[in-house]
Amino acid sequence: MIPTNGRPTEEEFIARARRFLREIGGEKADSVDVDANLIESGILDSLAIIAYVAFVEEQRGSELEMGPEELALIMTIRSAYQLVRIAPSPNAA
Amino acid sequence: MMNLLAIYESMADEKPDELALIYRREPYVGETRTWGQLRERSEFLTKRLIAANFPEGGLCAVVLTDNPDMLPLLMAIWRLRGVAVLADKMWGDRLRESVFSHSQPNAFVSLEPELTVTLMVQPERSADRKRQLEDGALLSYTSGSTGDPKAIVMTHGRLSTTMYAAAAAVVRHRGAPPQRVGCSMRLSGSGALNLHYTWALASGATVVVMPQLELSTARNYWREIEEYEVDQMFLVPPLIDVLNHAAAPRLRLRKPPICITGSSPLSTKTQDRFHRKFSVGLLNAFGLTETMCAAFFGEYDENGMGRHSIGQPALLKARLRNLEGEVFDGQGDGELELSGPVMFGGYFGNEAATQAAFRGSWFRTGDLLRRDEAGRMTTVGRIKDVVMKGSFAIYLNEIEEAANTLDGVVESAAVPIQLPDGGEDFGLLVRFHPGGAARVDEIAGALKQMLGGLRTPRRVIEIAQPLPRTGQEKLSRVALRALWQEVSGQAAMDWATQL
Repeated sequence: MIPTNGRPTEEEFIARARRFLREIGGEKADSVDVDANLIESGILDSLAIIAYVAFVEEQRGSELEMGPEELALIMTIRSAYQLVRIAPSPNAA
Repeated sequence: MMNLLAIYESMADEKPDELALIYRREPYVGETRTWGQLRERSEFLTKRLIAANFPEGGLCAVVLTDNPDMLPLLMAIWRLRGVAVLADKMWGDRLRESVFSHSQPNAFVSLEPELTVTLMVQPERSADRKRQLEDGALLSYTSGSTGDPKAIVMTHGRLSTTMYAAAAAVVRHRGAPPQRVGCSMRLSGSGALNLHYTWALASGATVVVMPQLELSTARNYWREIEEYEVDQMFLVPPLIDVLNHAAAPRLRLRKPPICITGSSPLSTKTQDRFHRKFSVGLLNAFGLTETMCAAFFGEYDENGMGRHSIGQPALLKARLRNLEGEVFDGQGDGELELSGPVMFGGYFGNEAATQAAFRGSWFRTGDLLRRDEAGRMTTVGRIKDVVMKGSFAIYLNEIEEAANTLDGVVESAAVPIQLPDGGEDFGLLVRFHPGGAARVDEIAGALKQMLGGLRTPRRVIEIAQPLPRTGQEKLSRVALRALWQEVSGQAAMDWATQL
């Protein structure tokens, strides 16, 4: 995949997300499926999910407005990438 | 009036038909209690306690739950001149047993699934413990499962004085007392109880028990605040972050409530985002269980937004002591020391911890503060071996003592770690007996069973070498942080490492 506006590709995002999740969730994050729900699989708890939201914001380069759709997307690594991919351009007016 | 029960009674006399409680949280949505109903229910529960032979002046262990009968139950205990030992239902087995073993309650009362009173046979309480419990309303543990338990007796006198000062601070900030105090936190301990229910009592306000705030409920937060006309709210910084990320904008149909945070460090990033997103000033309060509740109430800037400073203390004197051990005036960093009439009288049944915590009449908070040229103070970090996880103080030695009892563990060390969003947590280094069957992936589960989820390490790492210790064989906290960084690839907290 081709990087856009300095944002990571899906592969890069998944690799960074795994590194991030390993930091806050331990070794079990290494083996978590990219389509697995991060709370149900025990990687994140209610405290850590906000840290993960902050990580996704950092990757997309802008703050997130967490509506119901975003709430659903943030729960797996692969779907969270949608929030990064469709982020408004940092250069947009 | 210096007795919480007397204050509730006076409210029931003055406005018996006005609402004291409104429930908007499952499973009690739609239920309300007037001040008069609180008194009536507490009188009924008093009879139940008497019928169960609860001794007058006894200690009563209470598992806190968000239940409309919780305040009446506390009132019933106080009517019998008893003291409530507060327990969190999320505690693990070992923590609960240790707290009850140390406090030696005369009865255990639970409201769920229904009211049950279990009497417990205890040895005669020592004269010193009796003295400590005089005028007691609540007994609150900040660390319970170690050989060094830290429990604070919150007396009626200190608590009511503190909460009247808190109510007065809000009037100073806002110009008028609140009518309704919103509670979006779980009733887990004395903090949540006093920051909402007792604060509301001192203000004569109604408590609105709102849905527990989390990512999935945050969207409607401001709509509910406005719908239920809440004009005072308190949220710990992690919950402010939840609002920052997930709450829909305010409707702005009503004047915003006074918004207060505290109980753990607030980052400027979190406070700035709150201001920017919701255009409401966020006050950064500061207090400890040892000071009964909040003792500093933040301050507004010239634009009505909250400063990062915690403001000036109410009812307490405050001073800073620098790294050289000298009390100083003016600009600089130092440990906060507090003294005054609402400061606790010492840890219950733990004279050694009391001696270590005080310099004369001054309590050593273990918090590192910075004072700027204008005399404003902000929190910087901590000197004690404590992390603030969520809004809870977790003592590292409590985790280590529990881990060291597990089969196969030679030694362990809990290490503070900084989460990427600025939050705090801790990891655990463990060394096993060589050739044993113990497994590192079983440690977290075992600790969760013993101490509860809050005291479960975020990450457990096995090490082969002995843990670094000082000349007195104490764990070297500075060296442990470096070791954690080396073996985890993750930065441990480095604040206060010079101290």
